[in-house]
Amino acid sequence: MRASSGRRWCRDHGVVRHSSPRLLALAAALGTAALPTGAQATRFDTSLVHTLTLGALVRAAQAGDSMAGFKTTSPDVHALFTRSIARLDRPEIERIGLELLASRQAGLGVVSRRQRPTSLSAQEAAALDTLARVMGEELPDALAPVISHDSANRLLDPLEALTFARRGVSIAQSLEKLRRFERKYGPGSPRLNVVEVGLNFVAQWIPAFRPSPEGWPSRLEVVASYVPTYLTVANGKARAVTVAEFGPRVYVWREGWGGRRGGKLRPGYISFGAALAGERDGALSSPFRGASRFGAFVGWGDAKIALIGGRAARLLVTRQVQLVPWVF
Amino acid sequence: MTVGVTSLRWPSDRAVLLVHGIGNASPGDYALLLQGVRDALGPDADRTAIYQLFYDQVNDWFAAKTSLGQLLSQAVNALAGQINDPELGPSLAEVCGDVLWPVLVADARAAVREAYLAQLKQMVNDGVAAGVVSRDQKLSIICHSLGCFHTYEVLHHAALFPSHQLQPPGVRFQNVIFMASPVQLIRTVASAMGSLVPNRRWLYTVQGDALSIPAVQKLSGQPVTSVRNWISITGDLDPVGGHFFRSREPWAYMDLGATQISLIDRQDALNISTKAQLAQALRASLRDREPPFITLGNPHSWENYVAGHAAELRQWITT
Repeated sequence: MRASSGRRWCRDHGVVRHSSPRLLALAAALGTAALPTGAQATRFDTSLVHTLTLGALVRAAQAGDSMAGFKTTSPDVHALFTRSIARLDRPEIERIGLELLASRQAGLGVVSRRQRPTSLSAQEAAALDTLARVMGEELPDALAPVISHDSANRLLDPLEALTFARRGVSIAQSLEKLRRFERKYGPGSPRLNVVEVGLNFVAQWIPAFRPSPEGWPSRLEVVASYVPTYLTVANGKARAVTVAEFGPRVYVWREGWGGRRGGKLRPGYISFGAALAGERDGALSSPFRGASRFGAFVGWGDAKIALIGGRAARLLVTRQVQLVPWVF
Repeated sequence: MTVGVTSLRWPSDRAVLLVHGIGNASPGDYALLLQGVRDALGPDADRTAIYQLFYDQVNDWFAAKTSLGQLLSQAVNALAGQINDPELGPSLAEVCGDVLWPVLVADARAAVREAYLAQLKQMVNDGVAAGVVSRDQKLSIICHSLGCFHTYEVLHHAALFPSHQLQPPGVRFQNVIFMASPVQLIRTVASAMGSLVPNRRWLYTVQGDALSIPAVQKLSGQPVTSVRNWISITGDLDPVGGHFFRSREPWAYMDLGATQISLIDRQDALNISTKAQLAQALRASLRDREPPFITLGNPHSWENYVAGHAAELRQWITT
């Protein structure tokens, strides 16, 4: 890939340069053709995103480094180019498409086994990031006095293609974050009571409960509910039981879970934790009255089951519902 | 309804994003404002892709699930303490309180930020799809009120996280025009609230010694800002923009010094000559349990700011 790749890129892309004798000599050496002055600007063609490869990006970087003359004008920048390019010099990865590369680096994209390219190692991925960064940061200004703006853009087409693809992946990630926020806070989410509002406000100081620095929501929420709607069957009769619940609610982000698509079998959230009932069964009673009975509850979406122990052990079922807004 | 992004076909190399403040806006709203921007741009309006960001749906998720009344009262009290004016203080605090609630919920901030980032990325990619490489795009943002806060947060976040592909110099905004910005006001109040502000590390408005234009340092060490023209426009009767009855309050007025183009309108045309009249105009916009309704007679009106600066807007955006 390394040998004469800059020359090959220039030949393929008809890169021009201005009238500096040194650069004209370089142009001649590279075998490029000059575009007429004032030629209509070439617009970026997004189909390049599907066709350009990592090899094209590396060749463009080599050509740019050479044309900008970083070796003499900015040895540090030249060293960054050289090191990054050297780490991307594995023949197996040269043909990886930039679009596929963007998807795979982000861990997104459905790729069949046949299509699956050789992956970049961690070192190669880091080298690609550095190369893309140094190309974007240093080349446009450095090339401005050397070649026309249009030619510089054409030289940087592989970088634009990679960035366009990565930005497309990033849009998908942003929308996925919003889908998760909607699952947690949107119209179909479980309503909170005032105690839960307070506890979840305080929980924002616990890292596991707050959004990540990148903006991904936490899948956790505090449950602290007074639930007077549990039902059980005791002595052949249906009875209401009031239970206090405390534990985490865990949101499920997996595709196909939650909402109408997920239905009852694949809900958007599950919950579990401690359950506490009063000494006697009954609706709207205090779970702390008398010798409280302890147990556990598990919620699968809005369906909940609880088991409380003690002398009057009970298996309880209910449905997640808020009868009085902000209360229970 | 899932939040999405707007995609437009670019007629040239130029795009503008309009970011509104507090309200119940949804696609199709702000028609008057949009027309105002088009009028300001004149014939160039047809050569400009004009986007609008609607994020109230996201706000509604949080309003429905998290009751913030008590905490918001604390924020308003913190603000009322800063406004040393018994006649205007309560009204001003109430009006400004509406822009403070995102400070209190880290998830709400993150969600609106993400909706905003998604729209910005789509705008840039629309430009690339039209053949204009990101370096050559002429991007502008016009934001108002709470939209200024979200803009400040988003630009800083985008500059810090390369994964969004919005870092300079690859993507650099030609103009970001803040109209009645409460960013400094929020900074002051959030600082006064101290540890009551959740996830403070990722609230860019309170970071650093002062407000700043987001920037990255190139590998060669040279800094490059995300925005070429950082413009602040406000009115001398607009409390959200840091003016309390013609008096500029440094603790509430967004001032980035020499790096900012600052324009402060004299709002004489509104015929507000006493503090009582101003308090009445501000109170008239407030509605119970709903976002305020800002009329053209209100010093905080976005439409008035756009109409009053039509010539400058055209110059900034089209050159």
